[in-house]
Amino acid sequence: MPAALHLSKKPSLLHFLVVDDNPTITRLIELQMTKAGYRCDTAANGENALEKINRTDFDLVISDISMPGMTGLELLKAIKQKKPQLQVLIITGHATIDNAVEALRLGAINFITKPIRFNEVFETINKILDLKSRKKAIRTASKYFLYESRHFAIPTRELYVSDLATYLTEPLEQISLVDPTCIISVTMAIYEALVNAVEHGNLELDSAVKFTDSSGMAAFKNLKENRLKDPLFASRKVTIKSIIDSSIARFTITDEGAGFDYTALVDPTSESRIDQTHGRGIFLIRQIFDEVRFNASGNSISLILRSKNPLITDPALNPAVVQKF
Amino acid sequence: MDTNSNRNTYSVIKVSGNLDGHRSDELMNAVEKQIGPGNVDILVDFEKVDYISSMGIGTLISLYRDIREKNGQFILYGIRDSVKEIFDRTHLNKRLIICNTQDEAMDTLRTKHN
Repeated sequence: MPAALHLSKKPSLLHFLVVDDNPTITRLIELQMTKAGYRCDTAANGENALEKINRTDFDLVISDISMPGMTGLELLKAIKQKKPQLQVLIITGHATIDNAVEALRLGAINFITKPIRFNEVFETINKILDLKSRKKAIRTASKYFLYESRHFAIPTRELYVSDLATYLTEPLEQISLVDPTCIISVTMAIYEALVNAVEHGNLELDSAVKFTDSSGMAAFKNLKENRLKDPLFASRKVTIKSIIDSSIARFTITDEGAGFDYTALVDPTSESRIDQTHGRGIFLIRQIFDEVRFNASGNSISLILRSKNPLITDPALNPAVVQKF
Repeated sequence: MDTNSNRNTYSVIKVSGNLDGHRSDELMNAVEKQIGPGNVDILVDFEKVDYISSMGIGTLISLYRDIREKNGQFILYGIRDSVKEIFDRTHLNKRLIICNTQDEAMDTLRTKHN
């Protein structure tokens, strides 16, 4: 299929930067892109590319991975620090495929291998156009976002803590309540609360067992697996209620265990506690959330996060949320 | 999790992603496999670790303690700012040996054994 047939949207709206120390490659890509109707600049190295990126708002950087001086991966890291939204397509030889996988982890939109097949480049461009269009729709809708409320009651044996924590915090990023660089901290704090609800609450396990001796971890895992098979423990549910508006998010996580005396929590940073292997979950949660509350019996925790730049400061604008909070 | 043994004197373990419960378990097993006669020094490459949970912290303290009891060294290097902040806040930076690079970690290892 000719490459041009992949194009369905207004190419002239997109502006690219091609980075490669080999002028033949940059010229080849520039020619193809210009022929397809895109605006295209070139840079011979990473440093030169960064200068251009500082001055111009590009839509896509197409960069070789192996370059003298700043490598493609170093350039990618620098771009994601300065302009996280700017998309980067990495070009790599087969020998550096591991680096290409690392590039995806660092936030590259895709990688293509040499020799360059332009239909692969155009597929990536179409992906960027779709993303831009989706982001525009989300950005527009977010301006008029009032609140989102979710309520789950999940049996312990079906609760996948890590993925659930990610799912619960996704809306925070979409409505920009949390800076993208901080979202992982919030996700991990919710992860801590969910682990507590599952392991200490519903399964009544003691974390201290994990590190008693070299077989502690295995003993803990065995006990956990056994309790997950025992209906008495495994059928207990974890209830999660989240309500998020443009200025505040509240997550309440409740288990069906006996609860605990949260007033007896000690400071894990004190000299006498610093070598302890457990007892830091709540401490880490408190480092991230603006407010952490427990119910009287200690089997329910509420985590509250406030926007540093609330869009809606007048509660009268959003009475439904105020009522629910 | 990748492991490299070097002339039976020390091992380098590379961890990536979030050091949560699952990865902590992997790290424990990886260290256990490496420790043996003449090889009790462990270097952990943290360059690709995005975040660390309370379980991850407990695992590091436990490993540090166990390896020190065997007269070995447990050294971390290449820590990102997001993880460094957690180490600072939990005061783990006062306990664990933390280096910037693998070269620095190896220098520290040599100094400790001299």
